[in-house]
Amino acid sequence: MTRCDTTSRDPPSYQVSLIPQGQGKQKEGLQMDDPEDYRTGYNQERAGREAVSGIIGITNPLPSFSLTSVLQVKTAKGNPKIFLNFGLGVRASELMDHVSNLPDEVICHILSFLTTKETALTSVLSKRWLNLWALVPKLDIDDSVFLHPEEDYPKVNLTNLVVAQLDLKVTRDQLELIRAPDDEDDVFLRLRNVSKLINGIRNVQKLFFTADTLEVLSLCCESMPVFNNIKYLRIKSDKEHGWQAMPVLLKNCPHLETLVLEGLLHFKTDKCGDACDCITREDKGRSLICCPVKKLEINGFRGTTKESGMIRHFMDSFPCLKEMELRLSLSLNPRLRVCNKILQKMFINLPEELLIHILSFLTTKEAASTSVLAKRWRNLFALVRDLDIDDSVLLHPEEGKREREEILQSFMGFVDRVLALQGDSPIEKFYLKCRSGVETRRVDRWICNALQRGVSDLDLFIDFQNLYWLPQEVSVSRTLVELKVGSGFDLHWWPNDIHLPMLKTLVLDSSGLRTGQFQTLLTACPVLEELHMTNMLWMNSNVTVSSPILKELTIDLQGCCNVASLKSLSFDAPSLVYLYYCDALAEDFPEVNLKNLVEAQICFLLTQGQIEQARALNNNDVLVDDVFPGLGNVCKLIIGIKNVQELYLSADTLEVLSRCCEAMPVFNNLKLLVIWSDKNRGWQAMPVLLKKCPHLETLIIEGLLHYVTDKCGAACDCISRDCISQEEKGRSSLASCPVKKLEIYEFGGTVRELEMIKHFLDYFPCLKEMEIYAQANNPTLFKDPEISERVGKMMYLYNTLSSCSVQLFVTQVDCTVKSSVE
Amino acid sequence: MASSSTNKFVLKSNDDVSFEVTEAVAREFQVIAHIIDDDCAKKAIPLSNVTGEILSKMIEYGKKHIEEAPVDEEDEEGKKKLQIWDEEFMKQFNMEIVFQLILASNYLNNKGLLDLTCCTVADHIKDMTPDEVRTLFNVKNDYTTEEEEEIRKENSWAFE
Repeated sequence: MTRCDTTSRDPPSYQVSLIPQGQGKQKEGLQMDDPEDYRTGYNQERAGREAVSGIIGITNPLPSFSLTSVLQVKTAKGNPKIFLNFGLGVRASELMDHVSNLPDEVICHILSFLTTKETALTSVLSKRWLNLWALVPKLDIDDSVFLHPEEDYPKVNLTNLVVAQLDLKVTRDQLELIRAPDDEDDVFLRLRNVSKLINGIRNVQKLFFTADTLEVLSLCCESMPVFNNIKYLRIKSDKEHGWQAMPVLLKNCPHLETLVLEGLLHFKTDKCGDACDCITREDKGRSLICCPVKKLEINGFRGTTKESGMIRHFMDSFPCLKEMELRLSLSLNPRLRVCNKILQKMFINLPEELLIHILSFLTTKEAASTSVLAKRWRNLFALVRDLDIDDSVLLHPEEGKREREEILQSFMGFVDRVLALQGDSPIEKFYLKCRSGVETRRVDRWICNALQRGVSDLDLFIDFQNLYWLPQEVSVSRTLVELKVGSGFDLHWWPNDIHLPMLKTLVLDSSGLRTGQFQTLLTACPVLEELHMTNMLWMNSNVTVSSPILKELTIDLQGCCNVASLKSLSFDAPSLVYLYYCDALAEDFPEVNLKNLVEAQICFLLTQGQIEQARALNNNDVLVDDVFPGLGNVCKLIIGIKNVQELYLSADTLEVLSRCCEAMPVFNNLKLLVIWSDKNRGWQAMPVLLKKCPHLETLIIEGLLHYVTDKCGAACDCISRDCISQEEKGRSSLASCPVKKLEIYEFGGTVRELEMIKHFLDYFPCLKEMEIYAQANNPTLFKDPEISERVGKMMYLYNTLSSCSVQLFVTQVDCTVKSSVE
Repeated sequence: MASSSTNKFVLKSNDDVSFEVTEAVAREFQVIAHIIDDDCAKKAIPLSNVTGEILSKMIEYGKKHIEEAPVDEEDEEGKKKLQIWDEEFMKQFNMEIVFQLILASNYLNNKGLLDLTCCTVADHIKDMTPDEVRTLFNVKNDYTTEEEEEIRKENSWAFE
């Protein structure tokens, strides 16, 4: 909330986007989850309009039409703000020549992100490019994320940058490396490349850092540039990240006027120097002695002792400080002091059950700290019915503190005591998270205690590195309604008399089951409605999902494809409404009874061999060795789910569906079809699939680019038109297609995509609405004026020449979708 | 049920402020719903434990939650919107009002508002040292130093 306010108060003079080329490369450099990391600039409601005017500004708009009316840039669904960075500060002529001005090695670097085949195409660009592509180290076809060696920022030339906002996400492992530097470590050395980026943006006037970013900056304390122009610095803090870079940063901002701290609490290290009062050493350094900061703003201030101490420290240490603004969080109203008397009466008069209700919103640890308030509070926290215990939560976190013997003892003693205080009073929820070091027999006892007291919701995350087995008592609980077990317990050793008569929801993560145990488990849970399994180790090769009342089923291998596939997978679940299947392709599907399925998401994880086999069989080529016998059996599954209303198919699944074009059932109920595409996977099944959906209303395609085959038929125009005549194409599969709305995601603005869109407009007879989504950080679409212009023109033409409304949306990148695609 | 949207009821606070509300809003408060069901709502319903100031805020909350109720379980957007409104709603109050709202929503039995107000108080206990909580809520420490030390030892992990 605060952040938005501040943004609207300080409109930027203009914004400049950071490094047009090679965004992917930057991401790899720090292994960040959030693809937006290197964004500079502001998020603003009006960014969309700016983008449009930006395109006009740098292209030569045709006099006959205005681009503003053509490009309807809107926010995506549910996304109130557009994050869009547009290079308004960069002249068009500079942009045009951008690539040619780059040194050879940078071009090679850019090319290194393409496949060798693609790079070879660049040889025809001009003489200079003739052999450049050959200088690129050849990439494997199965290149994975780790193969990109260039986690670096070879060139950061942003001399006119005014505003920069850096949000470098770091993983936990990287964080540990940052705190314990290891010059031998490859990852660490690559992390240090961040200093090149920082050096490149040293001319900015306004700078925002997130807590992660500040921690990363501690790697370039020695090479920190002097930020001569910085007037405004905003830093976000949180308890997980340290301030090691603060002293150097403040020292190197000789003209800083305003410092905004969003949150004061940070991870305690001995490197904060005199930027805070974490340590009370004498030799703290004197980085603040020349600090010219006049105004200090502190947001989210809550008035804790620690914060007050820091504020006192700031007042003592900043020599030029004239103004300090504390923004209180929530309703710590100044009126508070006046009404203290009344308050005291109110709080004292609050009935016990209400106090307990208040405490129930805290973790058990937080609630327990109220025991010292006054006598009345001593054991109040133990009357809360839910337990929420996580051994890694420490009020004063320090490196390795959790593992210290006295802390572990204190933790175990604490849980023992809370359970003892609660006696045999009923309990509803028990959440327990603990890691190695805690005694297994005590964990057993705690779980059994909760079970004896009739716990209905048990959520366990116990990471003892496979040295712990879930007590057998869990398998015969008569009260459990919801059971979640994380972190790989094998359930092999549970006897066959499992009986969980009340269990409705079961969530298993990385659990191993012995042969036949899955079926036993299902019969043992007669009222089970939701079953979610991730990373299951299927010990048995024949699995039958058989349950008359199961409603939701998730089988998710989360991308690890090394597990041998099942011999057979059967479904006898007439009540199943939702199915998410992301696992290797089973060899056979002997029985598929999923009559009432509403939503199915099928993401087979295929091996390259299976893909090749699918293509070979499909092309009626000479049969390759039958490496995988049951490829054609996938039809049985598809026929079994023909009643679905919403169907999601991954690129792999679509490819393997080409094996059952003849047996494709009619999807009479299907209203929504979602296809994820992949450059290396084909659309051979598309024509038949679309033909067999007589009531399809919405088609969503995530990524238009796919592997070119001669089987796409009318579904796309990848085969040149002269092979098949227009009439013939029109008469084929799409002629009766009732799709009204087409949504296209991950639009990149290439010619091929534009042609495909044109093709869709020509061939879908009922199409009324087309929505095209491009990501705001698309490396080319909004950076390259030629592409922007082309897309703008085409959008205009689409809208004028067809009756369908075509809209282009700019979306903020959704990191969850992105990462799962990768 | 056509009448339920047009039926009006009058709620009267203990300082004699009357509010006319629709049946749907009135039913947001379980106790009032029972009074309506028992057909005892012909005249103004007197609420002896709630002041007009508090009651007006509760009605504001009730109205919002009727008007902007999420369409169904799946309506994440609607839920989020309402949650943001809730947060903003709570920001206008000082602690005294928050406690009065807790008591009143407990008395009139509105679970949503009770949870919201209790959660607000809990947020203030989080990350605070016991001394700060004492100051904030003006809790009188009736332990002796030795006693307090003993309690701290009892639950030592909670203070790590």
